[in-house]
Amino acid sequence: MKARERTGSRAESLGVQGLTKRFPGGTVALDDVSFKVERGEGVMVLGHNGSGKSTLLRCLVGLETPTSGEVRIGDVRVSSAGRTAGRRKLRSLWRRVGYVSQGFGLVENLSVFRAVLQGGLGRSDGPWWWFPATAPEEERDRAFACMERVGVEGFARRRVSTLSGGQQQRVAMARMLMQDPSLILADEPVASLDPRAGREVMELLWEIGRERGLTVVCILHQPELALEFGDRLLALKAGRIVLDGPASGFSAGDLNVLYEDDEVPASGALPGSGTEG
Amino acid sequence: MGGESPGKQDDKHGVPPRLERPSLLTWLAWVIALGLFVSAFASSGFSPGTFSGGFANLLDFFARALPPETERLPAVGAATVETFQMALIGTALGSLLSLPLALLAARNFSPHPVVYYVTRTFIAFLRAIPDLVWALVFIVAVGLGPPAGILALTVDAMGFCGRFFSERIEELDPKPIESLRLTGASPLAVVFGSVVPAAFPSFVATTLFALESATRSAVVLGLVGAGGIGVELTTSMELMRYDEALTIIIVIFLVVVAVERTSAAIRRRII
Repeated sequence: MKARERTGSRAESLGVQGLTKRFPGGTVALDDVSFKVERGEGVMVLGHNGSGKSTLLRCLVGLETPTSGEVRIGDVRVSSAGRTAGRRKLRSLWRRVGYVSQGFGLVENLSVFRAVLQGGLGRSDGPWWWFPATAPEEERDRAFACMERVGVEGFARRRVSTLSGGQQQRVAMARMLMQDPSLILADEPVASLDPRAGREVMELLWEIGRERGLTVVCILHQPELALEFGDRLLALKAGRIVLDGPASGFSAGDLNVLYEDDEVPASGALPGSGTEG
Repeated sequence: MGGESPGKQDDKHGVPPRLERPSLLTWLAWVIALGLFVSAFASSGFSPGTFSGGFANLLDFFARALPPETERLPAVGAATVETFQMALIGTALGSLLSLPLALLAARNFSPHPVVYYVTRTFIAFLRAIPDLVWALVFIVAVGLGPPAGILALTVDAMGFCGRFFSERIEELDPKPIESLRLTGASPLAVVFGSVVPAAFPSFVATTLFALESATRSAVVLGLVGAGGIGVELTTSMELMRYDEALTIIIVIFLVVVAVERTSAAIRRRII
């Protein structure tokens, strides 16, 4: 699953230049972060709690306005010099970005089928899309195909809240597939799952990324999963990139350093780091 | 509280005294509260005398009311149905209209703080004015009869549901809402795809409470001529036909209890 194998024609590239985010209280979450993700590349973002990972992801989709710097997804400028793109522009971008989060982001008392169908809401042009009973036939078929892809087709009429965490995350992925994205952003997608369910979810996420040739940026807390699945690793500490390079260049020991309290060597001091900015 | 400090003569080993000396402010608050109560009692003319006299009259009422007269039961039944219909329509309209209001009055959905405060104030205004007063206003607008009552109950339900709907919306987990926005769905699709389904059980429960309250209100609204069984009740009372009045009171009791029981049963199922 290397970058070269992922040559999806629709996949988006992603670029961050000099991104800084300072919160009103004075906390600096991101400090002059720059990197570029090629089309079809699978990047794992590591770092301990409070290192700025989630803020980074929120800046990437325009949910957070950076203090300075620029974010681009494909040819869309998400934010630049402290200003985020307008709502209309963001909405059309969001249609193409699949977002998977730690908390699954599902309404618990919906049926699984309706939750998945909602992935298509960005394409909808009227209220008949809001309910399974009135949704267009081809969208209903597409939603069921997405459920089959992630293996939750047996739960179509069950309430989301009756499923296990791993199953709920699969439902969230089916909804993301329904969106037909060209870029996947995942915020600790396995954080609330047990190790086995977590591994299954990562395998599925990566298979989907590979078979569709998508660009994937995934925040992860498990160095071993990051090494196994990532094409490239990127690590943040105190809002700065401290490590960036192909996954093959690192060992688990290199990554464990990230979670220790003492200073991590600056970019370039670790094997394989700093090969691509 | 005031003046209690460790190391005073009377405290042994730091055990707090049984009675703490109240502060000047507490004293004042007590004096004012007591004064208000005494003056209210004095000026309202409520005395043990009126109470005993009233009790005798009450006995007289029941003596005349028993046994209840069932001759006018068909007319009372029709008026009861009308009363419940008023409550049902008023609550349904009010709860539907309060949904957009609640979205504008929920901190996490309001498009602008000014909109938020204006809608909050508007809802508070609807709630502050009693439904009987609304009924009087709407009788001027649309004349005597059920339509005025329905409008009054609608406004009342809007105030009640608007407030509780908006509070429920503010409590919602933001994650599912954000996830749906991130699919590029339109704001309305987000509302109907995540806010409404997530808050639905609470919305239904609130609406049922509103229906219970509207059923009771609808009875009273008839007293001022806004339709329903209250008209029958005032007529019987004014004609001193207390036996008819008692029938009406019993029917009202049965309807209110039936509505409360049914709505409680529905709430148990959905929550």
